[in-house]
Amino acid sequence: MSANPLLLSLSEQARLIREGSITSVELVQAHLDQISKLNPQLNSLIAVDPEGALEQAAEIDAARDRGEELGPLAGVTIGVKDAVPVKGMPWTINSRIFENRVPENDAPAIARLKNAGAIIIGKANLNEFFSRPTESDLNPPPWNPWNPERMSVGSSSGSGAALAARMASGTIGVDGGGSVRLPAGAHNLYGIKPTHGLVSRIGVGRSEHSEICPLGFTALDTAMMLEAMIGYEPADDLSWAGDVPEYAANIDADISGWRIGVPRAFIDSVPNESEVMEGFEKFLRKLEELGCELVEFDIQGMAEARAATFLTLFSNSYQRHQKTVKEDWDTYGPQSRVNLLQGAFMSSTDLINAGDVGRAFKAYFSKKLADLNLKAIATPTSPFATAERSRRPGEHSRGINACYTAPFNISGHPSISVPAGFGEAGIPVGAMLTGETHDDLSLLQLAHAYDEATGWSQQSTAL
Amino acid sequence: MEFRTDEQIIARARQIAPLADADLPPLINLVHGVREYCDLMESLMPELGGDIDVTKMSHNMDGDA
Repeated sequence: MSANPLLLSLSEQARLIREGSITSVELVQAHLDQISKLNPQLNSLIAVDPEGALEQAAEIDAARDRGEELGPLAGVTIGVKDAVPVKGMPWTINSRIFENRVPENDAPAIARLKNAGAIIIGKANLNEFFSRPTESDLNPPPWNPWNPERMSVGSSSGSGAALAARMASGTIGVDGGGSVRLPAGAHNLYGIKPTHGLVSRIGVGRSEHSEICPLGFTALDTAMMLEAMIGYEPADDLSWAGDVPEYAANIDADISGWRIGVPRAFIDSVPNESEVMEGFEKFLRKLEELGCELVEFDIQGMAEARAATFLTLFSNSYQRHQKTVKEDWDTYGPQSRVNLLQGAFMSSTDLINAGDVGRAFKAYFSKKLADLNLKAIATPTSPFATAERSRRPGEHSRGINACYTAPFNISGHPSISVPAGFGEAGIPVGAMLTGETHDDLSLLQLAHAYDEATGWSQQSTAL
Repeated sequence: MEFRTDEQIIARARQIAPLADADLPPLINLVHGVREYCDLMESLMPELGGDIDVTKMSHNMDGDA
């Protein structure tokens, strides 16, 4: 090995393994060493499978030596949010309720990653049942490797922290209201929530708007992982059965002339921190340098769509836990058990109203993109530059930290967070691009061109 | 039944889970937020046979303008 493989992107690692410049065993061992070194401090991963990972790596190296064709992710390592089942590994959702649960099957998205050659190295920490983190969770919250005195943003906090700390080649999270895009932004990573239905949601419960999503060092990394996870699943009634273009092979594009909408009045109504806006304005200038045309426009319904997303999540969460909260109340963490009850205070009419508002916003937003001939709209990812500031004491369900992300969960539009610099605390901030359904490729092309022009993905923590 | 007062919320909460007294204040706060959201949704519902008009929705983060 000539260079430290930990500092390479997933796509570079995969290429070197395919070429024989490094072995998968070497890469897996480097990640395991990094986990041993940093995980006790960061709490990023809550389960690791060293023997299984090394065994799979040896099989991939042997297959390459035999001249067999390798999958696009052959030999690289993936950490999976512990909300998604991986056969034979813990599946706790960071709750004592599921402390000893081990699934017998992979989620379809995980099975597809494995079929592409990926090695699941461990399960990533998260907020108990996607709630707010507390020290009483089964595992304490992870810390942000960009500033280990700061908490990681969740709920896919461990997926963000583990990847930023180079404990894996890529990670998988679940985004129900921003829970992949927010940690991507706070860890200098790329994180895409794909068009609803592209990646089967089997394995993450019945929350219809929660998507299994990749986080990567680069846009290309996320494209490769997303491409591997996509596929029709007959058992999933919302699974997409239509054609999907190749992302990784088509990620290079001339984006000059592409029109990008900027909902300036809405952004100005949000209490964005100055560090966030500094990063966002630089992001816009870079898009202009790349030839994009910025189009300021007025957007409506973002607050209503955000509310609709959260009401749907509340209802789904309570529906799943209704029996267990009654029987095992004291086994839940004090934060998550209270949050889980919110859906019990809604009527069926309230839930249907929320669904109707979500569908209306979806149609409105798609029409807005078409009428203005926009490839995407650009916003910050979060108004806040640190996890601590995004959690305001006494705040109820308004979810200001998700004001940019959550509307597009219920609408199902694809949305990607990209790195946009660093705040005063040394914590990264993100910017977000959101586009038309089933045009995920354009978002990846935009993010890739931006990545190539900025080099944010070349930066690494001091750890 | 709607849950608008603290008393209504506490009564419903006691039906569905063995809450401790310390659980009630944060829950009440959350449920008032849920009610705000539900009222917002209801305010957007059209007359019978009509469609939701997004152009009458808010332009800002708080949903009030």
